Amino acid sequence: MSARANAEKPSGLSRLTAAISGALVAALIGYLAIHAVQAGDPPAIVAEAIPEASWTRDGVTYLAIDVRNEGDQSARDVQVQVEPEGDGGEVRQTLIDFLAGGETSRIYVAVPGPVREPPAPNGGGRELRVLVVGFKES
Amino acid sequence: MSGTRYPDRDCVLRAFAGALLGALPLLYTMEMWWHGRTFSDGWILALYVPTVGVVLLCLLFGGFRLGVSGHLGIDLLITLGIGIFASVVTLLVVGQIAPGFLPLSAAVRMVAIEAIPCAIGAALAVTQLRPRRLNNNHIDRRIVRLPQDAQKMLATIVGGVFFAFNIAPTEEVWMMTIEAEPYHFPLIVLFSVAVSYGIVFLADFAERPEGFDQGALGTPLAETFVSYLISLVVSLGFLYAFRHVSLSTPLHVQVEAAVMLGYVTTIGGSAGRVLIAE
Repeated sequence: MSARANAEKPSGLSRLTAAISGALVAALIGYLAIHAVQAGDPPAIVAEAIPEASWTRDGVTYLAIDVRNEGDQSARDVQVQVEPEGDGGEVRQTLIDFLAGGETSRIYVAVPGPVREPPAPNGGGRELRVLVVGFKES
Repeated sequence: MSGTRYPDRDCVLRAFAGALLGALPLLYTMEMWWHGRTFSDGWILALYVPTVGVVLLCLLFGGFRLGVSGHLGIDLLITLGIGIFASVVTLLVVGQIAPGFLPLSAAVRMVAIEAIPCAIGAALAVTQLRPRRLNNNHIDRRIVRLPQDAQKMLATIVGGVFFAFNIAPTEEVWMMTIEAEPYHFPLIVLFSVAVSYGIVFLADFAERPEGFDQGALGTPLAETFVSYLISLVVSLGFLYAFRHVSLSTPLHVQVEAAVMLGYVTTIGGSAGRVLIAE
């Protein structure tokens, strides 16, 4: 058989690479297609203070907050607010650029003095509320 | 004679290298990760339709393997698979996807969108970056069966897509469009057309193919202006694909954004005509 004729046929390596590539392409396209036909829940954002991940230093509490998208669709510009219970006190806001469906992002909000949300170790400090203010559809 | 002992192995390795050479800037681009996380699965799937077309065009322009290729389907599959592999490996190695870091669905979308430029880079590499010692007469280039006009237009699309892909996903295009003064846009048009003409007809990058002066695009001005219009359409397609504009965007803003991105696309299209269609 001539070299030219040999070159016309895909080699064993080509066939193997094509088989692996075919599996990769099928898996990717299949996964995307299945998710595309399922409508999926809209974004549902939940914010929760994490006491064990928070700390206080030099009179400032770094309050850890896990912000989770429990929906299937992504959200943009997720706005989270930390505010004192009752009247008065400074409101803190922070923004998360993107939160995919099922994704959790941990943020830290700096608050002066000890706080009770999460409960301060000595039980003192101010009570804080963590709220999700809103987001944009992606 | 191929001049190489393992032509198919070399093609596969060249495709992987080309995927990285062509798409590494995008694998390191934050906006591409964001698009992967926020675009819907259906939207990313839709992006694969033009992608398959462009990869096929690349393979038809250059040919994947030596001899008469009757295996375009296999070559297309290999190129797409190598694009996906390059995307997965790079995103894993640089830590942008990892178990627990992102939900699986977001990671798959990120891989899928990054695999698009990887596949185009792979296709261009196997067809354009082959060793010069190889005799190109032994490589199947089906595109030469088309009329010169069609070859020029397709080369403009391939080159334009390859260049524009590096810019279109970023926020800069939109920011530049908003910040530009109205007088900038006609200047960009004039400069784009002039640069395109210079690259193809004055810079003497490569020999034009025989018969390039035939057909409706046989004159330099016709080729330059029609190619520029094609570049604007490609640019507009990118702007829609990456959601910089939508049907509710005022028409003049769409045109301005297309002109802004069109500068890049035109240069890519010109490179495509002198390099791919040689």
